[in-house]
Amino acid sequence: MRSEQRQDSARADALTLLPLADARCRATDFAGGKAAALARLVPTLPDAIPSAWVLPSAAARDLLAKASDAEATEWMPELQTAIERALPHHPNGYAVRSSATDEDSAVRSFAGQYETVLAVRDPGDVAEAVLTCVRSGSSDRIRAYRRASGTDDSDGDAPAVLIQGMVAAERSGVAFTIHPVTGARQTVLNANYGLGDLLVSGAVTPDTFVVDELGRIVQTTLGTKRRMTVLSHAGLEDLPVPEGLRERLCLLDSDVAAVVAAAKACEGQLGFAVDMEWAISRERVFVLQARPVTGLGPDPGHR
Amino acid sequence: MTADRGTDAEWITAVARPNTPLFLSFLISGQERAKIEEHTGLPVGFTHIRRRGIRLQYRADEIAAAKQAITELRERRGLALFEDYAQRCLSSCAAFLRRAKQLGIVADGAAATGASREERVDSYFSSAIAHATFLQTMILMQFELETFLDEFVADHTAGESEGERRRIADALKLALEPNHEIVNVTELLELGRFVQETVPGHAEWVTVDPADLIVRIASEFPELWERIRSYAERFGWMGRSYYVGSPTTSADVVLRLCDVLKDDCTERLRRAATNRERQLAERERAIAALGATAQAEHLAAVMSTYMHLRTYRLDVFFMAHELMVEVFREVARQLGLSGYEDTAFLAWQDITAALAGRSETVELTEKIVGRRGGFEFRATAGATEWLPTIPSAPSPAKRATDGATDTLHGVTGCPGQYTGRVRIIANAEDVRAMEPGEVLVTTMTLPSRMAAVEKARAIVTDEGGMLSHAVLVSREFNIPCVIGTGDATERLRTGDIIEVDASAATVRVVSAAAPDE
Repeated sequence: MRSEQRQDSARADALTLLPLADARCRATDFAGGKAAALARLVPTLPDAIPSAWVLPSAAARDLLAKASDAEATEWMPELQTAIERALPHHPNGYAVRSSATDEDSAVRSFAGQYETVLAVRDPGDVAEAVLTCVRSGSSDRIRAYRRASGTDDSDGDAPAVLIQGMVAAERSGVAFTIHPVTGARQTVLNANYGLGDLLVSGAVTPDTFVVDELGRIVQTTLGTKRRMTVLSHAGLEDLPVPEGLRERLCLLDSDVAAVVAAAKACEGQLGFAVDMEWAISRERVFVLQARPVTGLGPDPGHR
Repeated sequence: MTADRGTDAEWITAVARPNTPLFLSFLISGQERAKIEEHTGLPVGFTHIRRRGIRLQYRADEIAAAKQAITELRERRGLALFEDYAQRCLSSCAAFLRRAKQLGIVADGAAATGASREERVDSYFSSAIAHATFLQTMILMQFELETFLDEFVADHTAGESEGERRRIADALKLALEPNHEIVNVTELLELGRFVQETVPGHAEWVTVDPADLIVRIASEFPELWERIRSYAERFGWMGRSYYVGSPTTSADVVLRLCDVLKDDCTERLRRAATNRERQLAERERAIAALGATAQAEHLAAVMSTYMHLRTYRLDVFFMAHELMVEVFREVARQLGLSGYEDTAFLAWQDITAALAGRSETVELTEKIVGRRGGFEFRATAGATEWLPTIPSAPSPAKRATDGATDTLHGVTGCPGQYTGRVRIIANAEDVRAMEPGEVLVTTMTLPSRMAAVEKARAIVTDEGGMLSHAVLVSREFNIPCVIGTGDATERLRTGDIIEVDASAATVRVVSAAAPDE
């Protein structure tokens, strides 16, 4: 199966990036879990999914094989050309994320995270970021785990790669359409100013909103929100949140309602309770990532 | 300095400042008579200092003796005394800044200076102590220089009215080199002008949530964001005062920018420039009225240096410490403290002893926690005793019961009239809450309160000196200013409507705020 796919894509063009809207991207084994979920959401939430391109799994494996066997000069120009051809100029640059087929497997949880490289602008840097993602599936840690567990003695796998236009997030966070602690049918939002990376890494205490099935906000908890990440032309900047902004909730009720509506739409389209990363920019809600809520995880405030 | 009304007459109370233990430990280490004499060449000094509430107190007899000594020197040496002293202060400031730059640039760079962290901290402390010697002396020198100026004007303007003499003396109190606070406001207005001239749709910014605006400017306006970042880098130190608080960041600058954008920045800059030209012209006329002699020119130049030095000398302390911030972060880590700011609540001797392994984290933490809630100390010749905190009794209400007759008297800082709403500024929270167009009422203005000054249409301070910070800034921007009211911050309340007649140096309450405001 795998070798057939490799031949197929090799015959076509191994290094073509497909737009996320391409129907093939909806298959997990083709585009990886992260990209496939977003691709399935495009018809339902066309304005909420940032424009994105996918390096399919098969092409990623080819690239990894070339990168392991050949000098960079042999394959780097091809990769850069593919990127320049596919990607329009995006003023905010790109987020380059790995999109593995085994996203929720034990390997992933052991390895922590596959790579994500944010705010990449130059095509050369995008190419480097793509390589970083492609290689993340065969990192030393994952290989060590595979050897130790005896599940696989190969050189590891290459995840597909998702290249998203960066959203200059004014607020961002995560949303769970099921309470991750109690399992209640409530939507729980965490939110901070700026980009969501500090929140996802647990570096700040975000605001928390709990919304019931009727859309009423039943609980709000003010987070300290000491820092925020801002996307500027120079890249990501980590800034202290000015004190006047820390002591108030970073979302209006209408923002909460818009994020909840997006999360519910994701849940309806994907058919499972979602753990969704979202961002608000210019009064628009963007869905950056949506995956199943796997079991009752830890307190979302300390993810 | 104002007399401490109604308490121990043996003590003189200096203006209230948010001093921290570390800053005071530099100051009082330099107060021994011999050190002051060595570093300033002046036979003055203070062997007894104490702190009550937020006010430092000096012994009245020592202040009197210092004043006497300075007066005698002035009679003997004339203007040369002031010039020499100012030059000494300026070169001392420069040397201290240079030292801090050498010591602070590389955070963990024993290799950079060839010195260990302990040695670098020691060296910084020594430099700060040497530099600190003239803090109190400086104020006395300024008073004496004003006396000298008044006498000079009286001697050279026979037949002029008292008012005309006052005008001539005032016109000479102009800093030719703008100080950091003025540059700070001017450049913010220039940022505002840049936005108003080059950004279409900026008029809507006032309706955008500030948090959104930070992100939008960063991602959509690269050139403006670079300007903002560079501004924040240069003036970041102003956000802290006396080593506590947060440095100004790009995000804070955006919030301040939102405020200035409510005005026409080009017009405000034009007014400031016109005002400056008028002041310079008045200064020229004053020199002419004094006979346009070399001596008059010389006096005006020395006066201008003092106007600059007045704020510069304190700014240098904060700028230098900001250069050392990484070093003090490491010191805090090494000593097991919770962060940089904690070091501000230790005396330099505490830090030195702890770095040498002579005290435990727990002892330091106790000191920090205790002093964060307020502190008192008693410094006598050669020894400083930190006393347990005595909770300050609530000050008796000084508010007049009959608001209509409540008039405060002070000194004209910058002439003019304005009637508006009072905003008492005691902390950073008040600065943020202040609305453009209000009257800034505070104990004294500080660099960290510039965000309030730029919103103010009039300024009223408790503090006394004619060469004070508030005067400098208000004159530069032509904001009516009354200083030296003694207790405006206690007699007025946020929300009161007051009529500031700065030309007459009075402040009258038009209507009092609702009692619960």
